[in-house]
Amino acid sequence: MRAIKNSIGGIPTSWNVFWFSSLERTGIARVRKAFAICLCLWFAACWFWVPQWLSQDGWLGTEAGRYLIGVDRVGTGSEYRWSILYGWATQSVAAGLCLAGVVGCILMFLGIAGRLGVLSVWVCMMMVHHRAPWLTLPAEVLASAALLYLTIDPGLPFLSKPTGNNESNDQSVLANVAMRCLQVHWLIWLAFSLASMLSHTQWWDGTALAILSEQASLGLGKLSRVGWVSQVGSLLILGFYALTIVFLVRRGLRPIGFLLIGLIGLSHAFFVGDWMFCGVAWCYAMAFLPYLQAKKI
Amino acid sequence: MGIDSQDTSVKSSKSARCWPNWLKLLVSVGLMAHFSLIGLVYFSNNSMHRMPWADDLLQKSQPYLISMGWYTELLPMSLIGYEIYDKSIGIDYKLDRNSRTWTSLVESVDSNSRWRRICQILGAFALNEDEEGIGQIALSIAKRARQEGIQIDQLRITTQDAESQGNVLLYQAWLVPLEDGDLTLVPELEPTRTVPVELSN
Repeated sequence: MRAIKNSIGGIPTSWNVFWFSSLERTGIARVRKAFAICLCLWFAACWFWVPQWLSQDGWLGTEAGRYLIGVDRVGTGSEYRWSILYGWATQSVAAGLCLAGVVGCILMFLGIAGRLGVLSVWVCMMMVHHRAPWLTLPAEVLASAALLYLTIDPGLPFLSKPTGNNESNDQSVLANVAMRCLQVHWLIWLAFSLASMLSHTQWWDGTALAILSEQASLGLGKLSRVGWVSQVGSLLILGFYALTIVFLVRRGLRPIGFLLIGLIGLSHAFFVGDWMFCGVAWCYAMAFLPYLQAKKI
Repeated sequence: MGIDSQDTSVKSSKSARCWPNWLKLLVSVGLMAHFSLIGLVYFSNNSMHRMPWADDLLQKSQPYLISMGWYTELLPMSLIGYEIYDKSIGIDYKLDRNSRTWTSLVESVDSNSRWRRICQILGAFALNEDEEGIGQIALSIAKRARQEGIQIDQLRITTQDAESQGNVLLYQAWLVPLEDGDLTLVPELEPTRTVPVELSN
């Protein structure tokens, strides 16, 4: 009984330490720069399809886009979707949005504009997402979440060197809060993904992975739906997901969890052809990096 | 918490004093509320059985969840929806209504991820007999194709029947110009047909 009381009594202390410790801002800066690179490439790729698809007369024109988000239908939440591509949807504006995203990513990488730089990238990304939510990939959803967390504290600018002084701008509680948000969000995503995959028989017999490989354009190639390769691959991916969660939560095993995140990203890249997910997974892995290293006091 | 309490213990004794308790409490409540909502979104997206209280809470939280982009329409895994939407979808067109030749505009199995997603949506609309939805997307595609120089006169959407492996017609319509210069699609047949139709090419 006393042990239980002690455990419960220790929760507020652990919570305070987990969320409200200070962290060197170089760590969150590293994550910021990694996401900036990923998203710069994403916006560059958007240049080649957003103007053709999401302009007023694009393949998915404004009227079709409004229908898909449920405009004029109760309960769809369409009134909360905002994008310049609904009201002013010329090809030039769409292209300008992609260019603004690239510029925002450069600012974000350099850390020049601080939170504003990160927020500008988020705004550009959300405009694309809100315009065509059904065309959004899982990696993009994870990336936009990370951008919001990075606005909590984007870290030190690119050319700024840490002074080593605890009292200076080098450390911040907000940086720790931002990193923890990234970690917790990733773990929640991983856990629900795993739960969903485990509940679908297609993931146990390999059909899901085979279907994804058929759809992948930059993967290793198509896997047979009836072969053992896709089944083994599926089970491996399920194992990666499960072990990653376990290892990331256990302090001593966290370095393995860090590597497993990378493996998850690589498996998405090679089997599913989702290279953006690979990049975003590595970016999230970097949120765990400062907590792997032993700190000098 | 199980995660590295001891690693940052010294730093916490210095920095935890920086934040007053009321601020830490406020932020903690905000974090718990936020991640609870995120978890609920993912749970509801994955769940086969919708819970009324969860749906109600998500609807009330829409201003926050949707506007800030937390309310994803995808399954977190989003790697496979349902197998019934995995069928091959074809979008064909005719340049002349008197012609018998259908030309393929999009074949989902050979297309990129965006076309495949649009085809999945078309398949879902057909399954739900949402003729308006199919029409909206089809009209958008037809208008864009005309912009690209393909003077579509008639458009059809087909899928493959699982049993017979033959083509099934989901939607077929004429592209008709309106008085104001705009275009509209006039459906020719019922949106969904379950009897495989032999289509001449």
